Amino acid sequence: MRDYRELTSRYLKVQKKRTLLTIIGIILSVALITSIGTMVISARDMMIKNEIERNGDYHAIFLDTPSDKVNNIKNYVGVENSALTKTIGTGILAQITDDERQQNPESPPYRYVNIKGYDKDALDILPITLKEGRLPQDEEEIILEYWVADYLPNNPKIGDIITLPIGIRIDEEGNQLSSNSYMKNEIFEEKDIRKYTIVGFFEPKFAWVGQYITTGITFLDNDNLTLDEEYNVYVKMDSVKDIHENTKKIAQSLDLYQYMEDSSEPYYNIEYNERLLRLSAQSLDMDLNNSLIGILIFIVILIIVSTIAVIYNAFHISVLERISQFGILRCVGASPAQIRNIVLKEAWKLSLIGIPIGLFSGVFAMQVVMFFVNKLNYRLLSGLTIVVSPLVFIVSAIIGLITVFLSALGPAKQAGKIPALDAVRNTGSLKKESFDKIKRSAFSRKLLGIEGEIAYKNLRRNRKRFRITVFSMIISIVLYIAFSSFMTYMLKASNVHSEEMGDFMIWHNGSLGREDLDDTVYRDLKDLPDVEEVFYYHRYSAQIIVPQNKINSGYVKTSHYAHHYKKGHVYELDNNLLYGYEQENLNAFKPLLKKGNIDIDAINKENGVLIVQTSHVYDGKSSNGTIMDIVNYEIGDEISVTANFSEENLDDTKVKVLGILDMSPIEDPYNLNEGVIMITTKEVYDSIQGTNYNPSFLVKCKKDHSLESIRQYLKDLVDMHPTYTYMDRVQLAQEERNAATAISIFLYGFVAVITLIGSLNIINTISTNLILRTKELSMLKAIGMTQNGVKRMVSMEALFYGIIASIYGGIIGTGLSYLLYHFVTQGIQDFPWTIPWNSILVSTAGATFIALMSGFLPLRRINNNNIVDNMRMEE
Amino acid sequence: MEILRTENLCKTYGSGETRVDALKNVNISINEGEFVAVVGPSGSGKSTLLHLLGGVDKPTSGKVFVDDVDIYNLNEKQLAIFRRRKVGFVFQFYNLIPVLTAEENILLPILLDNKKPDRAYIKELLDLLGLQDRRNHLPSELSGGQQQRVSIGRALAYKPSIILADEPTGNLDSKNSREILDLLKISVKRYNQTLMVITHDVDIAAQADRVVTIEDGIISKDEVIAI
Repeated sequence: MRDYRELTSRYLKVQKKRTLLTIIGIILSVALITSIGTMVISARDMMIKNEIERNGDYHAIFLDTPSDKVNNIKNYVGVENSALTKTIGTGILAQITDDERQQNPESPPYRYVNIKGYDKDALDILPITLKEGRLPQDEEEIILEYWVADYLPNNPKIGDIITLPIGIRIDEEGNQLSSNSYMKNEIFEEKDIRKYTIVGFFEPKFAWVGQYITTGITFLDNDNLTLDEEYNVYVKMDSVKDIHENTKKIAQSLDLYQYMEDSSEPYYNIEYNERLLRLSAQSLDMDLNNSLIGILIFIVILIIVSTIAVIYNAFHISVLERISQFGILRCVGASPAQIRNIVLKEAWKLSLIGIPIGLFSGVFAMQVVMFFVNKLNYRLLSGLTIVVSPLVFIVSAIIGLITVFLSALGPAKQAGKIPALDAVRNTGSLKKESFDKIKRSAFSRKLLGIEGEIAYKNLRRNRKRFRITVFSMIISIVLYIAFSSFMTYMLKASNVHSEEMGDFMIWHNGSLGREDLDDTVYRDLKDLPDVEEVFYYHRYSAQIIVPQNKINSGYVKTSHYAHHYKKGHVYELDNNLLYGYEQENLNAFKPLLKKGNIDIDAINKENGVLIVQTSHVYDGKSSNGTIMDIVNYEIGDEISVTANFSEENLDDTKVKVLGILDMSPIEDPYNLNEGVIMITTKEVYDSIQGTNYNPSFLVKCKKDHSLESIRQYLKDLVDMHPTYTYMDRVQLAQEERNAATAISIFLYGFVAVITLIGSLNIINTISTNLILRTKELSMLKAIGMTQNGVKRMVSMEALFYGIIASIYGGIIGTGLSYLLYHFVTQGIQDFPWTIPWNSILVSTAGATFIALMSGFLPLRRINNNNIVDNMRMEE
Repeated sequence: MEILRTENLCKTYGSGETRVDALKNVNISINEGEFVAVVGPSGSGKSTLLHLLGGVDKPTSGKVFVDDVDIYNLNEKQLAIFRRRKVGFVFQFYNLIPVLTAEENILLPILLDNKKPDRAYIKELLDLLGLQDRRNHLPSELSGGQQQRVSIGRALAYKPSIILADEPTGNLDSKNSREILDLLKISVKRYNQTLMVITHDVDIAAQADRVVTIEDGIISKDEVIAI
């Protein structure tokens, strides 16, 4: 030994068990923090990848750039990559047929293809999902959306040559139309005729019959730019920092801006890939919504607090155990700072071992979890690969170090303050205690015997140790309750929207005059053996007039749009949804009923409706808005309703509120556009809406039944009546169930680790509590207490600790679980908050059990030793 | 030449009904090289006096001068250095650090000072204590007498000017007791140290230069024994 500080490693080696416990505590907490960080970083990485896949790998587009400026932009300092595209023109694919016009009287005269030229960089960075064939390689080749081939004459295949009239689309006044709008009476001005070889078909973002304007992509040769033509220059910059300013600077230096009539600010024709920019930005807080950040911070704080509790206890107890040794050191001349250093150096050494292991096991644990999650084939997480981020490592290591030092600081200071006299008195810690006189309780003695009474007095005699023990048990109980109820909320929140979505969704476009066919389909579906329930409904939007006293003032304050709806003393809400259901369907909504009741006769007789008053509300600030009640109707109130675009232009109808629902059972649970959802029977719906066409069916299958009969029926139906379309949601529903499993793997993992930390803490405190009292316990035996008596006394102590800790822990844990509930649900009361009795029960029983167990082990050791030896034992 | 002096030294424990005056206005002066035995019944205040002289306790009132320095005027760190360099304690229960070997326990005060130990001196010390072949043993592997010798070694390691021993032989048999006392005497002679021993052992008291008797917190007798 060359230095007194070497004492540190001696102590650590001698106290192997405690050293191990402390290191495990450090490892667990660092691993938890690392895995959370890794998860966040990996999720961000996945979101960036998805965004690139969806929108392209670029930061900004300089739109309509003259050809002579294109290369200036491409070569500008700070531009890392660039790509060129150009609008070649609009080609006519086919004329709209009479049938199609009947379905949509507003349709334009032709189906078009917007032809764009992509240079080879653009083909590379912009998202194109080829279904067949290859990308175009010269200006005579083209790729089209796969479904439009059906509309072209002779249904061309890959390799076929098509001839397209190319031109521009203008409205009646001669203004050019934008590529995503169309008019019934628009005019096509032909400029050219071109021949293209089809070399491939790609998947568009949306494929829909009603999409009249589709996209075709041809090759653009970026070496031969046409003079006086305009190009779109896609750029990816070296850094996303200040990208808006930097790109504007480029535009400024190249004179690529103009002044609009009504503004003194220059206008730059630059478009940004905002989501990608936000995701790539350094600050994570932009892309995560506030409640998620709240939850993350909350979890990390809980982890830190629990680790501090474990490590603090470990150090505190080890200092208590060594009081006389520190006293000797003081006697032989160690200064308080030297003793403090010994303890802090212990902390440092433990961190040095624990933190690196924690970092790696955190990442490793995430990889194990991802391995299982990937097996579940959950769409949302597919493509998620674990990203090992140095930032996460550094932050977790720093948090870990701070945690350990915070935990060790108190005990270190305490050790430094130990008076030298404590050593020379040679009594270990026993005489350090100040004994409070404890009132004798005849009650406790009668009930629990003399051992119980001593146990009770033992608890009360040393406040500090009592507090440490109870504190560590409380922490364990609180953590368990908070996390397990948090887990329940997360599971509920992730399930709540998917439960009622059904397995098949069927729409009928163009059912006008064929209502009997829809009725037949409904009956057929109901009669299929594997079908449990079929919802048959019509939906249309409607306007309602809400008097001022029925509008929720909170909504008016929050909403960005509410003032648009205000007309004098009333609010005219435009975006309400009116559902007309088959009568027997309505009975299934009873569980969602908040007020009133569902009485079909009354609904039909009194023009009754069931309403959902809750709606998404946009405050103009946050992108997702909030969910709140926008009106406050009561049962019996009348609402004045007008159907939007009713063909027969019916007058206002008065409907009567007969029931208020928590949320809509089908489709979106709340109105997405600041409106009320009204649900009624088909009869009432008809009287408001007038005509009754384009119904939807939602089919729920029996659990674990074959789906083939339904699939076959639907296939036949669509073959026979092409106006029907359907969506097979079985796969999706399965994915949603898998999502729940994936989330529970994560959450159960966290709960398991937290439970482990909590248990460590209890074991640590209780067992040392006893070891410290070896002398005293032996003395009790020496004067005639039996081994069983000692056991009973110790168990009773553990029991008392359990009871006291469960009272405090239960209350605090319940409070925290309530807070977490609010974080998770963000005030949307999809499910009510209840006291987490289960968690309270499990955690208190568990904590008490662990306390009992951790008492028995040291007791056995004490028992195995000779009574006199124990009594002689120093410290 | 005076090395140690107290002025109206008082120590009181507790207050009110439970108040105990362990020391009442004790004035004592000890010269360099003196061997003082302190005797008296249990609870008379012997140990309290020794602790106060060694700077491990705090007096309720009064002063302790070592080499004319008022040691309770020093701050915690200075007091620690004082104990490290000026005083060597020997306790009845040895009080060794269980995780350190015999030699390391002896070296501890020097190491606390971040100094290199004088190897020749330590060897001499180990020889003197008869611990040469036990130097790498842990305290738990040593007999009581050996442990006490280690603790004496620790007290002597820094060649302090004052050695304070609280019943150093109280836990030992008569053979070991004699050896321990001889060791102490040899050491104080060789390094011209001052030795103060609390003892119940008449034989030990008989070998001292001076015997101080304490009763009820006051010095009731102070006899210089003529050689």
